[in-house]
Amino acid sequence: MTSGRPVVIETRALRKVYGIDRAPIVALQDISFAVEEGSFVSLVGPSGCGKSTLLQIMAGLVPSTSGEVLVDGVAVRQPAPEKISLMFQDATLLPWKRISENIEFPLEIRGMDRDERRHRAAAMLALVGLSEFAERYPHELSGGMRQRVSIARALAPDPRILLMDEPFGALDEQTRIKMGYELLRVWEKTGKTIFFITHSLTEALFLADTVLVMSHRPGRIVGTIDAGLPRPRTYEIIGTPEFGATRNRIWSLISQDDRDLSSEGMAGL
Amino acid sequence: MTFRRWLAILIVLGLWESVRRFNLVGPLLLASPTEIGEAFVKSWFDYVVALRLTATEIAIALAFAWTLGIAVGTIAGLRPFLSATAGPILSSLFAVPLISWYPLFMVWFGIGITSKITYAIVSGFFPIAINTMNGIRAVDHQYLLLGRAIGCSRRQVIVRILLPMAMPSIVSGLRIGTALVVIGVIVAEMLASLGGIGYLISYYRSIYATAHVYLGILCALGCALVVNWGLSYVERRFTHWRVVQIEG
Repeated sequence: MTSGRPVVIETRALRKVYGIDRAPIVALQDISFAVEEGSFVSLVGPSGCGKSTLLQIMAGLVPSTSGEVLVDGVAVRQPAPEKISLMFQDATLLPWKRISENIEFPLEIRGMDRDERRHRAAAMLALVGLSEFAERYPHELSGGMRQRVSIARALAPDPRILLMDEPFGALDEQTRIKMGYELLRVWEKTGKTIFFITHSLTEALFLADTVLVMSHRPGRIVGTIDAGLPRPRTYEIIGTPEFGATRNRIWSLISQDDRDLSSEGMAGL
Repeated sequence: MTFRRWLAILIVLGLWESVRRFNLVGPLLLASPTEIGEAFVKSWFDYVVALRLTATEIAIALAFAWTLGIAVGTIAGLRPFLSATAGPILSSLFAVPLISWYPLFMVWFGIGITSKITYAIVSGFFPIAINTMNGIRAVDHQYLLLGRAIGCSRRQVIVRILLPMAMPSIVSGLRIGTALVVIGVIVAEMLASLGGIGYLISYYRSIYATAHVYLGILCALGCALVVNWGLSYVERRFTHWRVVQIEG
């Protein structure tokens, strides 16, 4: 967040409280950060810290208790499919639709005509390298391929922002690494702004320009770490001392804040 | 395959016929295929009239049971509070032997077509509503978020995402519900009525015309087969993706 590109997403003092009447639970507290146009920002934090809630507030799916989210300076209060696409842990493809029809679905909802939809879907499938699977059904594809289709579907309406909620969390490690590469390739080619939630420190750092570190109870941002790693990223970078040192900094930010994790038994991790 | 099937049918018919020919079983208990045939030739017109009535009742009852069951199940499935309260009520109502209510239906709606149709609707409604509700509730929350994030209206989320996702569960509810509608119509006709297949079965039983009773049962079987055939069509049309999924 230092390159001076325009800010595309900004959150201002976001706060989310559940169960206001009795025993209120503060899920998010004073969340403020800015994401620059075209950057790749990861958000890491322990499970249950409110990462998904934050993402849903940013997508306009859930209202915040106070504070606001600005996209291009305009407050987000409801879903804005023309600007923001979402991806989930599951590919959430519609099992009765062919792959190409799945990619066309958000375009259909927008009322785009058939020919343009077809054209767009074909281009997106080519982008994720799955053109030959256009006429297949989701269950005929592997988990990694389904998640690539999900990327293609998210990109099809040509949004500026991609919000991803642990999109590779359900995949095995090798597939996950490949998907990371794939996502970086697509990101470099399309120039989208990506906000990527994960609980894997390695994944967060490997992919991002900037890593936001979140703690829980209440969920708040405890650190903003500049990855400071060269691009293009390769798998070998994970073994370098710089990578390890930065990852340790992220870990110490998470663990110092958490009594469960900061006990001596966990210190060596 | 088809040849073997026909052969099997011929053998069964042959055995059935010979059991009666050699009088191994009395005429009150069993009618042979030829006796049933004779009964049909003699009074086919009565059966056509009865079939028409029964088929009408089944068709009307099915239309209502399907529509109401899916509508109520969808509404209940969409609201956590409603499904939490309505769920157990629906399930326990479904467990009550509905036939015990039939005398009341007659008091309310008379012994004509209306009481049969209402009774059949009530019998078929519950499994359809319960399965629809469960199917809607079982859809992963992420699909709801997806629908809203891509700009679906509430109606589009329901029609384009939730109902198709719930279709396998809805169809199995339709299977049970449809069978109960057919049973409901025929049983209600047997208990008290002025016509229909159930009425004929009951009437001929009371005058010990066994061949006619069997003919009536065959007609009821025919109704069930036709309805089942329609249901299989619906199943293929709306849940083909799931069939493929199981094979794959």
